[in-house]
Amino acid sequence: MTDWRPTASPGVLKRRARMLADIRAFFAERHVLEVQTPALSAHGNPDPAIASLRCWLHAPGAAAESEYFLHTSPEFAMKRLLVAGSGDIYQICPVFRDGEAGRFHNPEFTLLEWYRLGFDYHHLMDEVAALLRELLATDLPEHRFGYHDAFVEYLDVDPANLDAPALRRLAADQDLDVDGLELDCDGWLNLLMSHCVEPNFPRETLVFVKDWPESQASLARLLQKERPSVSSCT
Amino acid sequence: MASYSTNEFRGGLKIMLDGDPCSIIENEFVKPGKGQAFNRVKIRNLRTGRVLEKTFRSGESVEAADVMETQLQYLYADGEYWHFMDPDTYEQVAADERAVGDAVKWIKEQDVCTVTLWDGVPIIVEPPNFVVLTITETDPGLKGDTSGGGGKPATLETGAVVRVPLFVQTGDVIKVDARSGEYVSRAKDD
Repeated sequence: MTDWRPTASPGVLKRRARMLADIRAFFAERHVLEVQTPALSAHGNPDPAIASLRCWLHAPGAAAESEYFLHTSPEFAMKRLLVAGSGDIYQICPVFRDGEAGRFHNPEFTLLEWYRLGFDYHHLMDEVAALLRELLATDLPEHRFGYHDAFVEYLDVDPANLDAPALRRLAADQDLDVDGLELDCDGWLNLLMSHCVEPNFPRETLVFVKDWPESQASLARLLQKERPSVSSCT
Repeated sequence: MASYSTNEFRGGLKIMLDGDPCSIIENEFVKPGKGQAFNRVKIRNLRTGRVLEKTFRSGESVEAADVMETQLQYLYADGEYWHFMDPDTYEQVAADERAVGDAVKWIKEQDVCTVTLWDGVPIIVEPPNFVVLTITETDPGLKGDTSGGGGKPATLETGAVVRVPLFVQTGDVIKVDARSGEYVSRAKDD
């Protein structure tokens, strides 16, 4: 780094501070309690596609250093608070993910995470939309897709019963170069979702994708329906 | 064999793909929520010049291509190969027609060209940005024309044809932008 100047202008810093104050006001009005849970943890994240940053702690007098992890989200710690009876809670905190860097990704970013007792995921989507509309101060239109319906909308295919070779053909039909790519079903679904479905989402719109496949439902409750799918609220 | 992980992908990195050396133009990290991450990469095949898009799983490794750009002096053509020399080591390499490509229209002996070597063999020859060449044939210009409104075609010693102002004559030495094929000026040292 040769330039010490921050990349954020004073104007952006002020708008960011305003946004954080607005988020806090939004939750205060709804009686949701702000909490802060530890960023440093003795265990890493078990999600297969999320990597924790590692660090080493030298406790005074300890014979050896011990390995610690920076949290990738405050989900586990906040769920412990919920189980202990905290009631509705939210948190705004820096989180860390190893191996992620790009136009939409940073190894460190600020996350807003919240939990509402007794809300189902439809109710929670309503609240996400209300928060975003308030922060953006515009009445953006809203579109809610089932995961499979998004595929039907943009790829004309319901991926529910497709196996890995069929999903691979589907990707090839979308002009993706699949030579040398060896993926399982979820890998192909992720590829199609990120390369062919998401880029087609309507602009200037609040888009929600719900009812994700059961195989991608980490830490979410399964829906009991004729077609197995899930709600992922996090 | 040397290899690169997708984490090391960046513009300009040279990798092997389907047996051909390629250069990465653009690398985008794509990751859906909690799902598997991909690197969506725009790549130029250095042998064919074609640009293609390819998706890799993040963390995957690909073979590195032993490709380097060198500044070599053009010596001569023997009818089949164009011969170049490293001015420091005097080492010589021969480039075939495919590697020389359009550069043949612009280079003359002694010119220093950018030559891309793959495993030591030239695959791309780029002429200097500006070349100085003698006009071997052009129609006589009209008397009194000094600026050149329309211009006229002129054939250069290398065989290339460029548009020049009307006042430029056969035997004149001119400077040409080899990237656009446009006349720049008469060369001062004629």
